[in-house]
Amino acid sequence: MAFFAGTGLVVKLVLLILIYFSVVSWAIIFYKLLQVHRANSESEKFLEFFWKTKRFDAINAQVDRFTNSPLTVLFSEGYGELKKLMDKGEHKEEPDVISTDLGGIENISRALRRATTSEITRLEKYTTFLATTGATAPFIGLFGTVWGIMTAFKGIGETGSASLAVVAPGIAEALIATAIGLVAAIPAVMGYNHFQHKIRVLIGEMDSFSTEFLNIVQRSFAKK
Amino acid sequence: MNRRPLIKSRGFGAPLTISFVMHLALFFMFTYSGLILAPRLREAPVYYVDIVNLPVAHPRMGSPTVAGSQPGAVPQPPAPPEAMRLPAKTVPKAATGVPAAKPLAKRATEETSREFEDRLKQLERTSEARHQAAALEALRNRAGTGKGAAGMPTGTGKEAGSDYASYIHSRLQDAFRTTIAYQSKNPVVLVQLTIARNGRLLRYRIERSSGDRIFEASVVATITKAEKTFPPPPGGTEFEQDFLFRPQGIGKQ
Repeated sequence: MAFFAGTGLVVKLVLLILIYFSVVSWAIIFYKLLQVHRANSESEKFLEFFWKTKRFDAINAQVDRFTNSPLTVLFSEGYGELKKLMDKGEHKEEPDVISTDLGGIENISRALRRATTSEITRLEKYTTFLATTGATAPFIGLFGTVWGIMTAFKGIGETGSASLAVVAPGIAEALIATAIGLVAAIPAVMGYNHFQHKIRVLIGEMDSFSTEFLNIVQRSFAKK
Repeated sequence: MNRRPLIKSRGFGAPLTISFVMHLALFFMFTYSGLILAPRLREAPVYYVDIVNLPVAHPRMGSPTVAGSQPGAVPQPPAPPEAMRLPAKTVPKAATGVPAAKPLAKRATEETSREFEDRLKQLERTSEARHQAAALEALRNRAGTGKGAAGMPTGTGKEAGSDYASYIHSRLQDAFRTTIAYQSKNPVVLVQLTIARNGRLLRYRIERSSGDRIFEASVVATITKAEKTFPPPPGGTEFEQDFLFRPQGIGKQ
């Protein structure tokens, strides 16, 4: 605390900003680690359950078990759209068949795309803060250092002495800002890259699931 | 109509708290291990040694009252050696002749072996004692009064504050080494310092200056730096003293 109290106002401000960046970055890292881990594990379980169960209505009844999986959301959106199309055909001769002529498959495809987009947005939430921290924290720290060194040199000018006892503490205090900037930035960049990779894998899984879902719908429900 | 499953939206509060606690723990860990503290250069403690008497523990204590400070405590020179005595003549006058010369020569030969060494040692002791007495006398003369003022510029060595001015002078001298700066050739600043009973600098007044602003600023910086180390003057009185600052050093007025 004595060290913090000994710095100038600008350096104090810089240090507070960097500490804020670091605290929030680590909070996001913990949050995303948990989120991505649950999304992966529950997606795996959901796919296993999906391929074991033949009926969509039976799967729909169990989706609440996999609430953290983005595939569950895709299935619910696709099934909802399919249900609407089938309800529309209830008064016709073949209630369990949807018409490809009226663009039923495209409707389901659009619903799946929309769900995919919303899930990507949800998964990527807060990661931009990590990118911002990684890109700006070193520069903010550098600014604090430059300011601190300027102040130190000003002090040297006022005292008229350039001895090590006068110069060293000011420079050391100034360099702390850069160090804290790097401490904030390095985990943020590492976390951002890690989560981008994990999210790309999940997006790939969502695309594959959408294609499989459309294939099943086309095979089972579309009018020949 | 089918409903989209509700995604469990866990709050951001828990990770934020964990992160905050983690940062706090790291901060205290680094603080107590001294890793993020700026290096503080510690000045070596300055010891003031009275080269004539014993080292001064503290200027408030005054001059040490040990041998050398008090007239009564000055070690007395050793007693002068006894006058050299010749061996008593035992030979009667009447019996002067050649046969009497033989025992005298024999005694003289015995004396050279033992008594001569004793005499030589005695002479050496005498000479050494005289040298010591002369050195003590010279030191007393140099000190001024010869009444225990050795090493003390003004007082008797037992007066309160007799050493205080020298102590303040030393502290100023130490601070002056790190702050000295001047632009004219031979700048001079005469400053009167007044130190309160509690050791705080009450005021300083520049009584005379050669007009070098930078030198004046460095003198002020010296006083500001040195005042932190001023102890309270002895005797519970205010202390006032003029100091003459020159690039070559500080002098008392």
